[in-house]
This record gives sequence, C-alpha cells and structure tokens, in this order.
Amino acid sequence: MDNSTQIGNSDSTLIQQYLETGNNRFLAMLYERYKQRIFGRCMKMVRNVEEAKDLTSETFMRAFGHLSDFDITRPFYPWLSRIATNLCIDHLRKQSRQRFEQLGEHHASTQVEQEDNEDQERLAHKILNAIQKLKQPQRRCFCLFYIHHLSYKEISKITGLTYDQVRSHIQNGRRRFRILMEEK
Amino acid sequence: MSEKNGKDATYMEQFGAAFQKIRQNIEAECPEAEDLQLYLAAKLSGKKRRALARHLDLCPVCFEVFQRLKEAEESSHDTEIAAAWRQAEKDLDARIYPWLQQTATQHPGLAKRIWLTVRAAFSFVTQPLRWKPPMVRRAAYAGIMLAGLLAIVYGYAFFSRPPYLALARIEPEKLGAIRSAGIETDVLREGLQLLDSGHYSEAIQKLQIYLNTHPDHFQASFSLGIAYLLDARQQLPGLLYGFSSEKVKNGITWLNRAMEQAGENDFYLEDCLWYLGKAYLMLNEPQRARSYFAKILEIRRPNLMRKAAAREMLARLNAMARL
Repeated sequence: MDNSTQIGNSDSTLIQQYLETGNNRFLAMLYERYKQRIFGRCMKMVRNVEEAKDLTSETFMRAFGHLSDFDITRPFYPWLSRIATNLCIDHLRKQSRQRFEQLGEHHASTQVEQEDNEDQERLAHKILNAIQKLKQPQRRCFCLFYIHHLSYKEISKITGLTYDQVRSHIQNGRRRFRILMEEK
Repeated sequence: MSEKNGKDATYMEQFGAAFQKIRQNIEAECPEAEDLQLYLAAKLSGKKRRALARHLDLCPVCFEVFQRLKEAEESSHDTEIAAAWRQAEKDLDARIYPWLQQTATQHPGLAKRIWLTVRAAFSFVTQPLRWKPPMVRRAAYAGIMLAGLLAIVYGYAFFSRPPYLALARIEPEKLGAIRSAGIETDVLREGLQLLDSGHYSEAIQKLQIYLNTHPDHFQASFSLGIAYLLDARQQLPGLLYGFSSEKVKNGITWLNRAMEQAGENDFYLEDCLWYLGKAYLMLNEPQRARSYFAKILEIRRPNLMRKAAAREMLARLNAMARL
C-alpha cells in the first residue's frame, strides 16, 4: 500500500537506523512519509490552516525528540497520530478555556467572596449530588448556565439545541434542582 | 409565573459561592488529552470511564473538545484538507528541514549501541510476530544466540573435563576375561552380550537382575562395574567427552565387591585393580589410581602384559605429575 510496509524500508528499520547512526536523513524519510497525514489529522481537529501547520511541526519535533522512548515493535503511525491528537486537544482546550473564561466573567454578576470552610464544602457536595440527579440535557444546560455563567445563546451553540429548548431545560432544571435540594 | 421565576432566581443566587467552588473543582479535574482519546476508543477502565463521563457533563471545555475529537474521527473533509495542504506543505518543509539540520544528533556512544542491540535482540525473542526485521538481521540474531548457547555448553564441558582423560579411557574390546561364551544362565548371558555389543544401560539392567538372585557371582559383579564405567562416558557432538561421576562411583562400588569375590584368583584381582585405577582417573583422583596400579606390580603371579601396562601407566602418571 505504502512504503512503510516494504521490508528493509519499514518505519522500525528507519528508526533503528537513525538511532544507530544518528543520521537525520532517516528522520527526513519518516517526515516525508507522514507529513500529509498528520497535517490532515490536525486540520480535522483545529480547522485552521495556520494552527494545523504549527501543530504538525510541533508533533514531528516532539516525536523525533522522543524517538528513543518509542517501542519499535509497535507501529509508528498510531503513536505519531496520538501525539498529534494530544497536542490538538491541549491546544483546543486552551482556546476553549480562554473563551469560556471571558464569557463567564462577562456574564457573572459579581465575583462572590470565597469562604473556605466546611459548610461551603458540604453545600458544594450537596449541590453536585443534586445536579447528578438531573436528566440530560437538562443537567448540561443547568451547569453551563449556573456554574459557567454562559448565556442561552452560547449554550444553544455548544449543545446544538434551539434557544427555546435551552430556556425550557434551564427553567425545568431549576425547578427540579430546588426540589432535590429541599428533599434532604 | 414570572414572579415564581423571580423567586427561583433569588433562591439560586444564594448558591453563588458554592457554584464558583464547583467550577474551580471541575477545572482542576480536567482529564489528560490521552484519556480523552482512550475514552473515545472505549479503552478506559470502568472507574476512570465513569469519572470522565461525569466530568464531560459538567465541563464545557472538555465537552467541546471531546465533540471536536469525535467529529474528527468520523468526518472526512478530504478535499478541503487537500487544498489546505497544497498551501501548507512548503511552509511546513521550511520549518522542519532547518530544524532537522540544527538538531543533528551526535552519533550514539558504544554503550548505547550495545544497549540498543540487546534490546532489539530481546524484543526479537519476546515479540517475533509484531516486529519484522529483514531476514539478514533475523538470521544474524539467531546465529548469535546459537553460538552463545554452544559456547556455554562446550565451555562447561571443556573446563569440567578430567585432565587424565586419555589415560582413563576404557576400550571395550580389551576387556579380557569377560566374554559371554560358555555362560549358561540366560539373564547373565544376555547381560554380557549387551555389554559386548555396546548397549551399556541395558546391560546394567540385566546384570542387576541377575545379581539380585546371585549376589556372589564374580563375573556378574565385575561386568556390572565395567558396564557402569563404560556408560559413564558422555560424548558431546564434536571431540570432547567427560564422565558422569555418579555412574563412575557405582562402577567402583561393584568393582570393589568383585575384588572381594575374586579371593585368591590373581587374574581376577588384576582385572579389578586395573579398572579401579582407571575409575579413579575418571574421577580425577590420580593418587588413588596410582595405588591400584602399584598393587598390580605386587601380585605374585601376574599376567606379564598387564604388569607391563601398569608399569607404563605409572610412568605416565609420574610424568604428568611432574608437569
């Protein structure tokens, strides 16, 4: 199918030859072999050419830097792809966290003073238990609204529900939450 | 209705601080990127899987990333990606190739190369099906392992061989008095025939059976001793051979018993002394061997050829001792 299966030129052979000789020519061959697939993988995750380029080069640099940790009895591409995906996940998570923080700060009425005491801890635990008992997608909408301070519009964007559905889930969730909290 | 909603909203406000704490806890619990991949591939164990599912319900960041990961697994935007690739390839090459040249790694040291070879050989043994190295390399590893094994076996045989090997050797055709002709008992005759034809372990069995019923028979005891000595020799493919000391000791026991049974018969006595001497050479005890050969010289009516042989043997042992 591709070169990687040819005997004498397999990935493990190239890696071993590189480790034995220290010649970067073998790394270049590996790079040529997988650059397009890794770029495709990153593109599917981040959907942005510039970011995908950064992540692809980061992937190869990281993988080549840690080749001595690679178990040559295993196939190379899945390992490389896993590194790429991990980098993409971390990248997306960073982006997403920044965005949510901005949104949250924007919507949160006031930052409440943190009191670090046992009552606070117990209340948080009780709330979490009550939230666990809500049904999906009520639970997700409720959390996004009350814990992460997102607007109906943003919640509908994340969950793929309509604006009205989100509103009704939050209202019903709030009612159910109150009942669950007063039960105990 | 709206009034009730308003009440609810006020009710919710009292949880503000607790919600903030929950939010901080959720952020601190975000799983490793690796775990998200494993979760999607359904490769997480029960407890971890449940914890991650719960986290995804509560954490919008991880939920969003996980959705993206799932979509990336399922979707194929191959044409868009191909277009992007045309645009990106040159840029990417321009980053990677200079980096590769910059970071040209040094040639690994000898210790590292030895370690890599050992590791490769080890994985060749443990996981031969997964890794398919070229045939030449496989043959080389197999050859190295075979040579190592042979070196251990032959090394052991070489260093554990008795130094009096050549002198200790018994030649079956020169056993002298022991012949099966004229023996009437079936079991004894079969035993001696087996001994003559070189089937030593079978001969030992037969002779032992005979000796159970005739414990005082000189010829049977003597032949059993000889059979043990002949059986003790362990030949390896190649030139070297050694002796099993257990069998030699059995042989000595039976030859001693035969010597008691020989009584006044000088011919019998001579034979016993000769082979006892040989047996001690097999055990690498030349002093004791020498005492037996010396006794042959003291016999009053000796077989002259045996006496000459004993004298020569003593001379050679003395020469070897001086070296």
